[in-house]
Amino acid sequence: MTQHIASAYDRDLEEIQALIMKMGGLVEAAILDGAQSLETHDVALAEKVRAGDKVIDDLEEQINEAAARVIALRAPVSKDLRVLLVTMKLAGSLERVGDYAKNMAKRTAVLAEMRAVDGTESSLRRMAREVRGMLNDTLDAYLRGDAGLAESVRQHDQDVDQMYNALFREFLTFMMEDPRNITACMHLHFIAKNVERMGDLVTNMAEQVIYLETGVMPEEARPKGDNTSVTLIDDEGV
Amino acid sequence: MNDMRLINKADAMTDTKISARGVDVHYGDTHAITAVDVEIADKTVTAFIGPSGCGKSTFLRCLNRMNDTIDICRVTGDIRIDDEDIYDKRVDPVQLRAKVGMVFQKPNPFPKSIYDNVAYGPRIHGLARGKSDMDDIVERALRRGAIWDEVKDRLHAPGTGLSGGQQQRLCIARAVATEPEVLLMDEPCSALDPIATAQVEELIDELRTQYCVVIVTHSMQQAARVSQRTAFFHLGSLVEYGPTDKIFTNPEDPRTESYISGRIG
Amino acid sequence: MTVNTSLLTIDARTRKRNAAETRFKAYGIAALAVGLLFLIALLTAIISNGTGAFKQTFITLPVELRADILDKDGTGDPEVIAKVSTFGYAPLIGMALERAVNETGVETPLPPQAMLQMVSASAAAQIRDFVLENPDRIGDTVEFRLLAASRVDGYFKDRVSRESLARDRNLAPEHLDVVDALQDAGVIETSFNAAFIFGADASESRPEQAGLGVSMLGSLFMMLVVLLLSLPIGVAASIYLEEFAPTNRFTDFIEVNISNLAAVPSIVFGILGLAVFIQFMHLPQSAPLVGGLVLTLMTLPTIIISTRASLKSVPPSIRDAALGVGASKMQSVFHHVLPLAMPGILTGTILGLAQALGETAPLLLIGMVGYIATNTPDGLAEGFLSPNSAMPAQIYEWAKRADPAYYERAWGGIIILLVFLMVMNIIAILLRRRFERRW
Repeated sequence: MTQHIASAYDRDLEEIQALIMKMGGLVEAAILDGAQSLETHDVALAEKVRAGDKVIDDLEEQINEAAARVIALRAPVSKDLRVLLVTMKLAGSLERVGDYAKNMAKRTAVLAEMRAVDGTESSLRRMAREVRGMLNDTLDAYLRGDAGLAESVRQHDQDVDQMYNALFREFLTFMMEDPRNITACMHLHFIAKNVERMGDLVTNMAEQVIYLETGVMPEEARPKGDNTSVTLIDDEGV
Repeated sequence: MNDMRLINKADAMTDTKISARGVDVHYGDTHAITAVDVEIADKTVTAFIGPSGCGKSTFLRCLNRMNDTIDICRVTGDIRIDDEDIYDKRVDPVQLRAKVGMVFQKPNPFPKSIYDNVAYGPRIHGLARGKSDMDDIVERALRRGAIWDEVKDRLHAPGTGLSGGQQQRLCIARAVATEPEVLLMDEPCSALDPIATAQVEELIDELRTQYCVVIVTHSMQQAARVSQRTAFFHLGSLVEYGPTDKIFTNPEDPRTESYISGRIG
Repeated sequence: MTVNTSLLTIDARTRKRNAAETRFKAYGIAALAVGLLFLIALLTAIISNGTGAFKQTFITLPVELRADILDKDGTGDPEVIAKVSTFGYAPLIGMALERAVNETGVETPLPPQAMLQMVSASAAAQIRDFVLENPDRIGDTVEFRLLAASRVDGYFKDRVSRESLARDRNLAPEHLDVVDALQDAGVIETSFNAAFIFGADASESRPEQAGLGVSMLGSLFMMLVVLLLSLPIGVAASIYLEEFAPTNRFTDFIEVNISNLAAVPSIVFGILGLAVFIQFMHLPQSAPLVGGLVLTLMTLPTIIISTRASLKSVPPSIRDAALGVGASKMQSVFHHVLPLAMPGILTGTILGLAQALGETAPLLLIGMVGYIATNTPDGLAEGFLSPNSAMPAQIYEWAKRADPAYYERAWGGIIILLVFLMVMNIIAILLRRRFERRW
């Protein structure tokens, strides 16, 4: 689309978009660092992620203020209005993703003192990477206005859900095998749940991007792969 | 990190260009403006908003002593530009108006050629030393008025032959030709269509880097778009004066809140 | 309960209203038609009565300039020749006439001296003037185009018949036979008379010689005075009243009086002129200068009022724009307001002048009526100060005189006056179109 006649309007919108991209970058780094610290039991890295969450929260506040200001001063309509509403929602979602990453890092400190539970940690890392990839795609879609890319992110959430299902079963199995694993598995499970929630949030973000581009919220229900709410494993193991 | 906040703070640090203290204006027996105190900053756009008849145009016309032309108008109080009282007996209003330019609500180019429209002010103030000097002055003014490209091939066509938006930009070019320091604009876009309005607003945004611009507007949205500081007038007194984004997101006075959200006329 | 009204049927009220409007339109057209009818009648009367004045009857005669009568001693000295008065030239004309009449072969009981009655009394003077200018032509036979006598002219214009001449002193019915014969021979003919437009007035007894030219000059000088005085004074007064005068009782008083002055009968200005300019200031009586001064006083209110209207019609936004750029009040008036008001001012001035051109009453009292304008003024000073007449005054004068030939000339004068007024109005329209600027 062509520029606004008032160049200051374009500058205001670009500044807000720049802030979102910055926030998104920080959150992506937090996810990666959190997963990394979990795998390598790097407590210092975990602490860095925890501390970094404050910056992410401040950015969310900043973005909201800036968006409110533009809405008050420019009375935007149509796509300009959607840009601002969506940006505010993205900021909120990113802040929660950042919180989950912080949570991940917090539990690392505890898990570092326990023995590793085999195989799960690399699965977790893979899951985290998946989610980070989705977030990256979503931010790309937002920047480039690519509704197709955002749609593919929506579909991708299925994979993350499948991974979570598998992990859930694994944890159940491990806990039934050896009760000494329970503490570690509980913590790990919370972490896995957080990552799955991150995936859902990123999918929400993708749906917002589609709304931004098309003006319509995507209607068909996205595929939900999480069936842990009905998973049952009996004593003999399934 | 906090870029936005830094920019806003920078606005608050510019110097005061016009300061008014205790200004009262009477039209015969009517008390039009009551005890207005305001400090208008240089290199910013200050907007005066308020309902019809609230005195914003009257106050604006005090700043270049245009109210002198109305016999029954009496102005009391202290108005200073660059710390000089403009109502001092030694001040010649004609000289003042070369320093404080004005653009009016209805575009009013002289019925002369575009060149002569812009050249008239410099000519009567003796600002040009010769023809080529005058040509430079005219070109500079037309560039600053963001209309040079559209008229450079027909400088001797009549100014009244342009479209409304172009005429208003011509009037702005005419006002800046005398190298003023302050630009007063009395509802400059109210007679223009939305595109022309947007073009003039963009021009005002460019002008604020060089002039102190004061704009009276009955459109709050325009004040929101174009100004850095806003003064809200109501029934002849100044109700609130502050940074524009604060006025429009979180004003202090309940009257301001009512006006900007459309709850009073 | 609502009545079902269809748009396609006209209800009674609308029908009555339409009928009333149609009737009103008819009245308007009828009024216009009546006005047009009168206008046509007036124009027809003027043209049919007046065009005759532009034609005059001339007799073309070869006249022998006999040296034995004109220059007896053969000195060739202009002073000596000048001693011969018009009385002496008359026989020359008589002889020439006699020859011409004999050539036609017409039988007439009139004696040869009576032939002279067919020629205007001015003929002798005309020949004498020629001889004095060309003394070397004495002895030659020169062909002259002489004015026929007024009665002869009247005969050709159907004013005069044999019955009406029965008791006339100037001509006898028998003359008319001779005239017919001369006409057949091509000696007498009626043709366009430029002297009517450009010549001087003549005495009561010589209508054939009378022309409007000198009084036109009188009118011209008067108009010059009016233009040069009333335009600057009127415009300056208007500008002051409109732009600079403070709003107080005194200014209102002035404005009311100016409007009243425009309605004062013009003869009052004549009395004023008599009292002030002639009796108090001792300016020459009947001079175009005085007439111009009186008419200036008369035209001034008109010009002031029309100039004020033009100045008022300039939109205040132009004044504001000029003031906003830093022009003083004077500069804004002279650089911007006045040029825009110019078309209106010019139109008002020309219309005021046209009105003044046709005024007769004030001129009555300062003596420009009744004066016989026979001398073309030479030089500007004389033009303003020497006594003269004006066109409308001249027409009035002619209408007063007894001779019916003058009556015809009065109509002719009216035609010329109307032509002047029409030309001035057209100039006003053209100037307005030319200077009109849109803002």
